[in-house]
Amino acid sequence: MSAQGFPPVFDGHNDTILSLNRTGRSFFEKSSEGHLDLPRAKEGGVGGGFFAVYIADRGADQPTDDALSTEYAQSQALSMLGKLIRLEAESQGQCKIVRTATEIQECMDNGTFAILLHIEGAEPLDAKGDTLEVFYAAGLRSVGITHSRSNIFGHGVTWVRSRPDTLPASPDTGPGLTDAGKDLVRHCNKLGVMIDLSHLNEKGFWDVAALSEHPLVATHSNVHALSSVSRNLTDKQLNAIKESNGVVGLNYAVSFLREDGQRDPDNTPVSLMVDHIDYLVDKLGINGVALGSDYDGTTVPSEIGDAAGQPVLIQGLRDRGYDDDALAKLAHRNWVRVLRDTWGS
Amino acid sequence: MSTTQFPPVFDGHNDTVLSLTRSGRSFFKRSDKGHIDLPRSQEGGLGGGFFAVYIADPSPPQQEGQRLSAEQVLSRYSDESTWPEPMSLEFAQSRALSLLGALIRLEEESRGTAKIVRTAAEIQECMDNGTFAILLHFEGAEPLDTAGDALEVFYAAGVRSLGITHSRRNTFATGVPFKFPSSPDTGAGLTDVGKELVRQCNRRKLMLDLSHITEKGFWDVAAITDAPLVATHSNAHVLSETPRNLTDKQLDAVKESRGMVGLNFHVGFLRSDGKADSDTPLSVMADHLERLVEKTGIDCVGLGSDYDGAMMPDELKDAAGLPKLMSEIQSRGYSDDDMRKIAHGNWVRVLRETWGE
Repeated sequence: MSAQGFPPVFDGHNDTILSLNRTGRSFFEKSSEGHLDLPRAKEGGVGGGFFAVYIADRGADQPTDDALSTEYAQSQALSMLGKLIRLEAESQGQCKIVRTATEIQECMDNGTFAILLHIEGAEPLDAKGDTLEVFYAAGLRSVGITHSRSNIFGHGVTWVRSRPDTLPASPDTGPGLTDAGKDLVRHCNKLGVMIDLSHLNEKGFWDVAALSEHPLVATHSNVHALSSVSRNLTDKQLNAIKESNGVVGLNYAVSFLREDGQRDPDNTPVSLMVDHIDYLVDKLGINGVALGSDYDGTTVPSEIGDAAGQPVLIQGLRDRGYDDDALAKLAHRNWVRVLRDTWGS
Repeated sequence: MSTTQFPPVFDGHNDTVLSLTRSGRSFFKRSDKGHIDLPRSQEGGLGGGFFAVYIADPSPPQQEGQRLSAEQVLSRYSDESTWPEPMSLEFAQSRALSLLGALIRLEEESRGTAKIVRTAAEIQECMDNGTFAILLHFEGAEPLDTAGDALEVFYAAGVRSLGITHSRRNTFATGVPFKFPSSPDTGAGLTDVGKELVRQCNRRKLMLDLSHITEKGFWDVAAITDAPLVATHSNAHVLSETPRNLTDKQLDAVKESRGMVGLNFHVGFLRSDGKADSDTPLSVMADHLERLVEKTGIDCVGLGSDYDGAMMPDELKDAAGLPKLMSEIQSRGYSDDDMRKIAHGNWVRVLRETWGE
């Protein structure tokens, strides 16, 4: 069921569907490109996770601050969601699109790979809420309101401010949610869609905190006090997450781990990842911390390498003194718990 | 359960979501606009049906900003030479998401009085317990990409039926123009991606609807599909020679596949002169129905009103007028069992065979 006797990992964030599309590699064959495929997931004890539907700007490989047209984003989202649904169909029972916390727990117990449909940036959603209804019916259960750009709902922390030469960079980079963004929060609450706060700027974060009835969740963000990029969470934000019984997933991006924000995978030790976990656990308690790798979407420490290297982190946590119960919570149980609290099932 | 003396009707086609979004009327309040809302359905014994997601072409430039009348729309699609250029995939997908979202919201807003149905058993339950059954249907595959990705999402969201084309051309197939009189053999059959779409629908167990497609397209589908052949809203060509109706040869193929034809209430597809004249007696509808039963048997005929998308005979008017049609049909000597089959039993049967549940 898992690698080296460790509990299986349910992971808070990957960009694997984008990587599959761009490289043409198969999810079912072990590749040396990217970070995640089923063979490497099995080898490393990754039992599933949030699969992000992220809409890249037209014709650009890198994110920019430009807004996207809704029609373009909807079309791209249909294509990516369709490809994820096909993964389930093509897997012959090895993968499952999960819609409830119970289904995730079952997958962790029986070894079926769990795919949670997530949108990273609400560009494909219309302000009336029609598209969210359709995507929810199709299995979508999590929405990040913005990526690191602006849209009709809110404003993400800008990419420019995450560059090392501008550190320290506060997440307070712009205005909060728009009225449509506030409606979106209410709509997600009503349907039972998890709202992901990673990438959202600080004013947006507080707007969601004031409105949402659900625990506050940042699927892939780290500790601002240890690495002062705008993508990480300040102590004040961590306190609010704790108060809501929320969760933070550790992001493996070396530039969001390192104090200097440099993209230096060879000199970013796993112990630094554990430092962030220690800090998060200190702030949130052992029930509020999980993993959110950003596999296939970032540069991870060389010691990890890819999903097959997942046990290196778990071993690092064990060496720091986390017991079996704590490891199971960090690996997947906290995700199952917060999603049950959010979705109601 | 029925609100009238007749078994509840499950209907093969309506354009109600388009009518709701255009007129702004509510599905839950009785209106004198259009043909279907929940109060009029309950009054007429309409228990549910195929709700079409049809993507209207953007208005031609000279009429931009104003809504086309029904006559203008019909004339726009009456001849291949005046057909609009095929719309973009992005436009069609965006509109489809909006219309499907509006239909899914109907279920939520109905507080249990309406339900999106995904299985034949669910439809039968709705007919038995009075819940209004909404079947999500695409009328034209414009929102589908050729890689088959969007279909997977729409299926997961509850879409269970697909008409490959409306009366125009798209990536997958060509439809018949609204001209009269004409054979349905008006143009090309399925494209290669259209054939692949048929196979994908078979794999996913989506019903394929043959209303609107050219005769060549009809035979292409018939050659490929492993499901019964279904035309949700078409009549007998021998009685009204519009290309939208089915020839005897096509009806033979429907019968052989244990398929289904839904009687279209549009006067222009009922009348022998093809005129859009609402002064059309209900007896003409019964004539078509009898002809369809004669050709395909009593297990392969149902109703496919085209409410909110066509011109109804004056006597029928709207969904509340359904008992008048049922009464006219019954007067031709059909038994209670036959009436139940025509009203909804045959739809449940063919969908169970197509969907496998």
